Amino acid sequence: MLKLKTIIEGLLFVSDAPLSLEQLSGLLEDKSIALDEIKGVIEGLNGEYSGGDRAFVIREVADGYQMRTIIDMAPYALRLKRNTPARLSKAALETLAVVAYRQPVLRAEIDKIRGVDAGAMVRTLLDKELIRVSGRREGLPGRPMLYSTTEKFLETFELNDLASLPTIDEIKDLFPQSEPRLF
Amino acid sequence: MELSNEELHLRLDIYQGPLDLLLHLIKINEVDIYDIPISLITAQYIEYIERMDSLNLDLVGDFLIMAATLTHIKSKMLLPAPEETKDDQPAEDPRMELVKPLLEYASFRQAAENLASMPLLERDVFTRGGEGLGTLDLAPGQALPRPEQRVAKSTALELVKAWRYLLEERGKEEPTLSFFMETVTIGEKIGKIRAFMIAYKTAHFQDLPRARNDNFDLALCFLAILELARTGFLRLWQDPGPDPLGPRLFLADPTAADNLKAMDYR
Repeated sequence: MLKLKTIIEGLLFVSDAPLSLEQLSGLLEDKSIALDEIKGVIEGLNGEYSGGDRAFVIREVADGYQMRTIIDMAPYALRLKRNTPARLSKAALETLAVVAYRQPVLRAEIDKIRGVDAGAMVRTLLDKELIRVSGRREGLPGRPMLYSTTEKFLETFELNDLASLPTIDEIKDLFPQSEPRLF
Repeated sequence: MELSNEELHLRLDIYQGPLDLLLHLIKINEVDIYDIPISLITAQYIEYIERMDSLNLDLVGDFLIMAATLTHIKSKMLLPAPEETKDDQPAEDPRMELVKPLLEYASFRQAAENLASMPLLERDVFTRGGEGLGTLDLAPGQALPRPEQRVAKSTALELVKAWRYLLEERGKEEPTLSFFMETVTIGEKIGKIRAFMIAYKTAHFQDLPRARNDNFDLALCFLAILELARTGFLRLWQDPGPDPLGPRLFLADPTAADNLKAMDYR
């Protein structure tokens, strides 16, 4: 009989997408195991990993759990994949930030905040599946499209949900040096 | 010296737009954002865009609008303030129309920096395997995985991509001349594909019986499989990345499309 810890570890090892506690529970024979217990097991595994010089850790992303390498592994992983690292331009990040904080948001609102035409950036982000069309603004001429971030956005930035993004006010404290002199 | 479009683009890329350039000027001049020396900043701003020296209005258009705004604010400030306003309140500083968007943009620029500093997938952290969507490889007749295990999270965009891809593939086919017009309705097309899928169980889009080099027929095929998928008769699978044979089709429920016969598709 495998230990619960072993099963959870194996499932997270095999899965190619984040697994929620509910999904993990659904894959167990013993349906009486509480979600909290599974969560505890994952925390236990992470404790073992951090004490054992492991290359990976279980992260909470997009409402699920996923094994991810630790940051120091990045240069080696990139060499293995012979890849240039994922990169988003400043313009793309700014556009993404506006969508993330103002969603659902209109193209025109993005243009206004950034002071430039954001059309090309919106298409790039749609192509990368970081944002999606989430609806249309009724009552405006032409019912313009509304944009929101996607689950892939959460996975890409290692966020559990949108609420785990720091608020704009919190960010001001994080990056005081980049702020123009305000007072 | 003539600058090529690309070089100009690079120089413009330093600033994400007029607001970015203005924030930069405010910073290097070490001035208070609530008390912008509008004359100085306007002069520097205009000097900068003059150096862009480009006739590409698409590229500099947004910068030019801001130049006009700055000049407008400057001229407003040169005018004596109106002696009294309606509510006897001091008139708003004309620079405020600039300060509000600048502050708003600055906060989103910081939010972007914050995003850039987060552990980015495929740059700082890596998961096992590659893309989040695994590939599905089934031998003919092999049982389908349960749908809840293998439902691709797709959007209409994926459909558009698949369609554009099929059109491109069609362009590669040998051109042929056709001398007769075939008028096939979508109902007939559905009937053909139903019979084909009941016989073969799984197929690639390219395997389906259809007229070669005929966009109308390709469109009918595409609509037919969408309709069949909607009824649950077919399940569609598009591998991430290009698959030269197009989307894959699986027979899901042979009885699901029976009620389609009565419907009119023209």
